[in-house]
Amino acid sequence: MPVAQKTKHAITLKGSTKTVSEFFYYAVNSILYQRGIYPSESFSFEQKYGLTVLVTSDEKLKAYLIKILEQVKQWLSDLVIEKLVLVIRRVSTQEVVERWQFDIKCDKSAKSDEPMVAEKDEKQVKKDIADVIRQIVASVTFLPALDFQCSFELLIYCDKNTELPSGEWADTGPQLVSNSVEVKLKSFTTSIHKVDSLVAYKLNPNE
Amino acid sequence: MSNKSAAATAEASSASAAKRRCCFQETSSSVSLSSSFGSEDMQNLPPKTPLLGETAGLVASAGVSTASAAATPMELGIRDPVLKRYSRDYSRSFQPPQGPPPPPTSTMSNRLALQQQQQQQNRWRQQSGTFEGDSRSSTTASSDFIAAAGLPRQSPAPSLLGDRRQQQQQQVESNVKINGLQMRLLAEESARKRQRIEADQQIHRLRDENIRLQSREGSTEERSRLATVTAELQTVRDEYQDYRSKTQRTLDDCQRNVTRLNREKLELEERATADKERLALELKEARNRVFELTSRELRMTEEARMQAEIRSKELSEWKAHLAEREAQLEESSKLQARVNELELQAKRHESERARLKSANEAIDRYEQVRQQNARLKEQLAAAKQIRDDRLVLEEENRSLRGRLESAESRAATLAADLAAAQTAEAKQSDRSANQSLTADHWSSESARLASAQRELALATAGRAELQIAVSAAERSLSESAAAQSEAEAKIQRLETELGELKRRLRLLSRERDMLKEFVASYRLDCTLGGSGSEQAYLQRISNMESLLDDYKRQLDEALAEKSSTASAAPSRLSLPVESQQQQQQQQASSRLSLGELASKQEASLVIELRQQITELHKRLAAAEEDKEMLAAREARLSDLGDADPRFTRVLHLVQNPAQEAEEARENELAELRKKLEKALTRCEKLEEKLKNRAAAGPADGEAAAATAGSSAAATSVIGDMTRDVSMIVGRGDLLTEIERLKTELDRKDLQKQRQREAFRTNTEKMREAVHRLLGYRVQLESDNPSERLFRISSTYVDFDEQDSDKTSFLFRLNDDNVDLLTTDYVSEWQSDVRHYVQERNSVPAFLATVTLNYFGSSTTLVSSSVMGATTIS
Repeated sequence: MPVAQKTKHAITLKGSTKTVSEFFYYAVNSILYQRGIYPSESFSFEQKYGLTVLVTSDEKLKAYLIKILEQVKQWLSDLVIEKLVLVIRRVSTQEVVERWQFDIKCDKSAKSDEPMVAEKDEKQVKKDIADVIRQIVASVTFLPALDFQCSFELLIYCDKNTELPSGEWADTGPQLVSNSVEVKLKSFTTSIHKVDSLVAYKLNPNE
Repeated sequence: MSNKSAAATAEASSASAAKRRCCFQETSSSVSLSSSFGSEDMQNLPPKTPLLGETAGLVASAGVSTASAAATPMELGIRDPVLKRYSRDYSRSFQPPQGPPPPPTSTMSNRLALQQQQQQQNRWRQQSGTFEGDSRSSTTASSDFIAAAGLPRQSPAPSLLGDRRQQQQQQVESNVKINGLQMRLLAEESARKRQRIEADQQIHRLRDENIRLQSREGSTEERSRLATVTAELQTVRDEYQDYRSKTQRTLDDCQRNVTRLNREKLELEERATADKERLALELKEARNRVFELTSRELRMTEEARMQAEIRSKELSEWKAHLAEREAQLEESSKLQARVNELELQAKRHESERARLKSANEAIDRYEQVRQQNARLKEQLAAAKQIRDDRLVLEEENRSLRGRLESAESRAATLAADLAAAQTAEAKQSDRSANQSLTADHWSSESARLASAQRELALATAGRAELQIAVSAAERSLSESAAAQSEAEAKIQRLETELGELKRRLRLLSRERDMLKEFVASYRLDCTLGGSGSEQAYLQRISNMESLLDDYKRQLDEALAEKSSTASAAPSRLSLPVESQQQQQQQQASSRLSLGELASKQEASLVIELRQQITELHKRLAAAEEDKEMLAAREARLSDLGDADPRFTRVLHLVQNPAQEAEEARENELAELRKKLEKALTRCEKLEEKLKNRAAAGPADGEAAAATAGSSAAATSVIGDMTRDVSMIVGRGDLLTEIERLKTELDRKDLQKQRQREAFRTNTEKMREAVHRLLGYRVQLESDNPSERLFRISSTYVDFDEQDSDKTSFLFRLNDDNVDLLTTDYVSEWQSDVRHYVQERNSVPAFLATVTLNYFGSSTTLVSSSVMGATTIS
């Protein structure tokens, strides 16, 4: 009688951290392109997750993202991060018009040197990430057009006892959208980190 | 004869053809006639010479541009530098001919030269016509261009047209002269040709006759005749030679005249070319100027339009910004008003809290009053009981009175019985003796009397007691009636107060609900207001929690008190029973005391505590509800991204794109503010200037010009921006300014042209003077004036060769010396150069030597030619 053996997938904290931080990089880039925060000429095509994603070629922006995501990577591996939020603000009034929130739930039992049994294999995780990216791209259809000059900022929610790495980081407020409409997007999990996505936006930002 | 007639026919046909055709064809006919010349003349002809005139004529008829484009002079075999020069584009700058035209080596070449000159004249005419046409077309084009540019049309300068017409007239005159001379030359030539043809025919005839005679040899007569004919032939030959030499001289004279005329023509052409070049340059300059002006005006207009657009955009942006600011201000004022309102509401809330507190106190008091009321009710009930007791007592009293009355009646009966008994005793004592049985009866009657007396005493005592009890009952009844009336009044008062308190309670409850709602909305606002309000929110939560703790504590205390009260309750609770029992006993004994009221107060305390517990339970439930609501709200805010500062830190990079954008916007705003201030200052200046101008008013043309000048000066003082603004504001001023500038430009151009003409005239005069006095033609060789390279050619050198390196010297003038540049021509004068220039360092002496040499050689040439002529003749 043949015996079927279930295949078990393993994932390490380092691998999960890399996957999640990579997702953040491409998600933020996609949002910045889709919402027109930066000119489309400053983006170039790249193949990732089986999709053609747009990645900025603006060196300054790239440096900012890399700097912030390096720290995010560190906090992801320390399991102290709770949220990563992309806040889009109107430059003229500093009003928050859109807020992309990625809730991160960390499995505190994960240890850096021990691989964990993963619920999904890497391919499935990437497929889930691709679904989230697709949803971000598709969200342009229902999000209101931003017909004014906007800027963005990335906020990181961490544990209270998290130590700040240098003087470049500072505490700030949650910067919520007043009278917002929320749309929950898909989520994915690496078995160590679970990322839920949500976009909150002002229904009539031009008023 | 047939030959002669054929020649005559050919001549006639060629003459008629010459009349019909143009001059080129006429020249070609003359060329075709020259085919009958000897082989020597034929050798001088270029291989395609007969086709030249036709080709040139065709080309000329097709137009100059076609001629220059389809066949260059070199391709056509034209060696005349004039033709070459005219074949060039007239727009190119004038350059002196690089080499002299080939010298007329023969009669045929002279004819060719004549043909070429005529062709060139025709071409020149056509060219001039084309040029005029071009100039007209260019003028039209320029006028169209001006019209397209919106500029007023400008007629060409009248002096320029006059000069051109004068030059054209001179050229026409010289052409007429040349044509006359050429016609004369052609007439003479045709006559000479006719003579030559006749001589040729005669020679042929003589030759034929000689041949015929030679065939008849042997005859002496014929020999003599042959000798005669030979002699005649010799004579004819001599005559022919004479005629030929004479014709040659005439031709030479004509050639010289033609050369002179050609020279004059060349000079005129040069002048015309120079004028044409100058005019072309001036036209070009004028065009450029017009174009420049037009483009400048267009640029200025465009700049003005762009400035206006930029200003309007800036204005709209500023308006939008102002509107935004106003909106922000309004919003901030609203917020301020809201804050004030909130503060007021907070104050009101405080006052309401105080009122609530007082209301709570009133409620507490109400409770006390209610308890007092209950006590009073109890007292009233007790009073009612007393009243009932009184009634019972009265009934008892009545019964006692009845009993008393019956006892009195019984006592009266007994007294009557006693009196009867005493009467009977007396009767009996009378009879005592008589009867022993009567004694027993007496004793029994005495005992019955004693008992009746005892009963009477008892009844009297009972009556007294009853009377005492009745009086006490009546007293207590009156007291209870007074207490009842007092309690009823108190109850009435308390009921009124209770109604008032209930009404206040309702109002306060309503107010409390309203305040609760307001506090909830205020909390929501505070929650959404940002991180600054979190502390207040947390403070409120902590206050609520402390309040809840207070309530819990109070509840615990109340429960403890309740338990303690409950432990003491049996004795206390039994009190009313006991009191009831006592009261019953007292009722039974008709005794009530006010001490029972104390126990009733204790019972009311328990009730009050119970009520307090119920109230506290209610408050606890409300607080729990509030807590749950707050937790739900907190959860929603947490879902939306709100962070609890007790557990979470929200971090960001200090240098972020939003911050940079904000800084950039601030900088831009600061810059725009500066610009606006600057623009406003300039606008004020401009308005001031416009007011001044409006006040002054242009009285006449001079005043207007002065105003324009002063405005230009003021504009230059104010600056570029102001000028732009002034252009935007006053379009009329701009046009006036442009008109003025154009007029000034025209005036300057005219002045410059006149100066140039005067300079050119003076230069020409100077050159002419130098040429005629010193025998040298001086030309500035290089276009670069700083180089100071001069070409010196002697007046004795053939005119056509004067500009050649082979017949002229090149000098470079330095600050302190003069360099003679080495050329082929200088090498011919090597010895003189060495002697005068190198050894004695005297250029003038060298040039004088050259002049003297030329003079001597030309004189020798003339004399030698004369001698030669003499020798030939």
